[in-house]
Amino acid sequence: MIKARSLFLTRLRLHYKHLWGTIRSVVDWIVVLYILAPALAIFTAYYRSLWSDTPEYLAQLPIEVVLLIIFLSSFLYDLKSFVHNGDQLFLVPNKAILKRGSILGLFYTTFMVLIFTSVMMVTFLPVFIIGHGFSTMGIIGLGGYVLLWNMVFVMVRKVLKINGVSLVYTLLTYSLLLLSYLSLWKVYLSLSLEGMCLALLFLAILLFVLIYKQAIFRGRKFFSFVAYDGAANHKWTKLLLWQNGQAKLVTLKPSKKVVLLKKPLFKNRSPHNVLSETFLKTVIRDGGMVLTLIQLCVLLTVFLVIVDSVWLGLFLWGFSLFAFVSIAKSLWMYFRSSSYFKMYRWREKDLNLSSKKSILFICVPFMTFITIVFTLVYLSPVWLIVTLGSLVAFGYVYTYRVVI
Amino acid sequence: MLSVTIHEAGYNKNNLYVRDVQFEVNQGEIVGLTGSNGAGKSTAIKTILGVMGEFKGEVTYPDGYKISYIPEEPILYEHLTLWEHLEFAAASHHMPESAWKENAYRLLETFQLRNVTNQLPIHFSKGMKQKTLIVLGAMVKPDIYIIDEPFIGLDPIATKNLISLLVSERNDGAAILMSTHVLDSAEKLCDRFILMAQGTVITQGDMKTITSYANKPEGTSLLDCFYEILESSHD
Repeated sequence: MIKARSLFLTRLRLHYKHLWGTIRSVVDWIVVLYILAPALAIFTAYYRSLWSDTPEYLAQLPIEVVLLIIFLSSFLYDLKSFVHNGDQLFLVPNKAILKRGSILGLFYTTFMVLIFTSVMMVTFLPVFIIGHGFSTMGIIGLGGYVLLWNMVFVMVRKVLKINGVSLVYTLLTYSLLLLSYLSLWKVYLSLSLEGMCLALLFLAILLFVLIYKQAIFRGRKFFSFVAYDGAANHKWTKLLLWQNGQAKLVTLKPSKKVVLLKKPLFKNRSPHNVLSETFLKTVIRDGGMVLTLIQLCVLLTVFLVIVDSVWLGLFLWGFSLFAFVSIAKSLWMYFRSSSYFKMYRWREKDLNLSSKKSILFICVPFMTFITIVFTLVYLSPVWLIVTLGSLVAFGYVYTYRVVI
Repeated sequence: MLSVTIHEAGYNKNNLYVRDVQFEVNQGEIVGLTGSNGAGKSTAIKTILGVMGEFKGEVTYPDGYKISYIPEEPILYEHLTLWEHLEFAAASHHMPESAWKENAYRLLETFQLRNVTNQLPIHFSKGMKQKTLIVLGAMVKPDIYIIDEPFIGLDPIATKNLISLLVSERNDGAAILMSTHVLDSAEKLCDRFILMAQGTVITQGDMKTITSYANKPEGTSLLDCFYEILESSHD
């Protein structure tokens, strides 16, 4: 008889094996030797120097922004139960295994969120202690607060995901995120009445979601939700354990899949344009990928603003360009690795032109935004005009001379 | 038209499952590739398509000829509509709109997919996904078809339409290699058969050759011949 713990550990091992394989497929020893290792060494040396030779900007960093970075970065973790689709069929007679596996998944998720939060807190420790004079208890309390809200969010996101991704639920999730951050800021830093009101409003919306959807804290159904496999979003009937412990085929509400950008993106329907369009549509319609790119753009822009140095800003601008080009390249390679793509034999010329065009279309919106912020913060409106003019000229030359 | 010689092929050097396979598919004929589960049919097809990790041998077909592959498992993009899949397939063959649109509309009508062209096929039923792949394969008017288990998941009307389509394509000169377990349909449709077991070809030829190889009287069904040959090969 299989045990929940051994099943969970096997799945965990497979998960990390797969993760390692994925990392190895995109990061080779050249990247490690020339980029990651030097970056880690420089960061470690710089971090150590902060404690002995404190720069002035530590005290000038807006604490609200630092809190936002910590809050957002550890917010991204998802609940992992490692329960597979097939388990819902085969483990139905063994409800105890499914339940125990779900609990282990909950513990694992808590542990991972704790690790993420701790790493972020340690990274910003000099800002808290040297820059803003936080006490040890204050820092532990802050970490605990972030961890607590993250675990609440992990469950809320899961519940919302089960009910289907829609605009209302997405807005609700982000409203809750915003409210929890504002209440953290207000309550933790100034303990004002305004902050308490925000926290109460947050709890009211949260309770509404949970009670309205009868989502959690209701016996076995809670564990069924924990065990829900997000990857099976397209299958609207799921075998779930019901409150009386019996298996039941549940029809979940299908989300209305909105197909964005139905019209053609390019008038010229040349093969490489069709290929680029296919790639761009798959990226844009995958909401999660666009959201990740927007989050990265916001994070980089916030860093760009708070470094308060034109040279560091310039370095971050270059880093942003490198990051977006790398991500666009990875997305393109992922697109090409799909089984459907492999069914067709594309000409090398079409592939080259399309990859250039696709990378350009992914990078330009984000880099334009970052460039505008950079020139507005560190340079002058004249520079802004010059930079934007250069970008347009570059885009024109690149698109019409190189791509077309 | 399509000439296949596989000395050995497999996913990696330690797993070279398919060996000593040699056959041809000529213009204007349908060749049925049959065999029990795990006989190596799908591996042979993937080898022809050039996606196997290890391959020693030769696959040849005339320059500039279009090949369409219709897979057994529905392979589609999650975020592309049916019409965008069609455009993608046509663009890969460098076909102008005028050369494929009319044919695509006709096929969509035949397989009752005309009213779902702006929907995402990933949400279709298994049969509709299979029909989508058939339309995708046939719309470019290929010279060579490679089809893996085309009848699985199709309703009787779609099965009949597919058979009509394949017959019509054969009459127009296409070479069709079709892997299938549905032997009664294959018997009516195919001109020749290739029987595989344990990664290699046991016998190949027309119905008369297969019947003779199975030591069965003329008129015996393909299913009975198939059973007899596989039973004797196990002995």
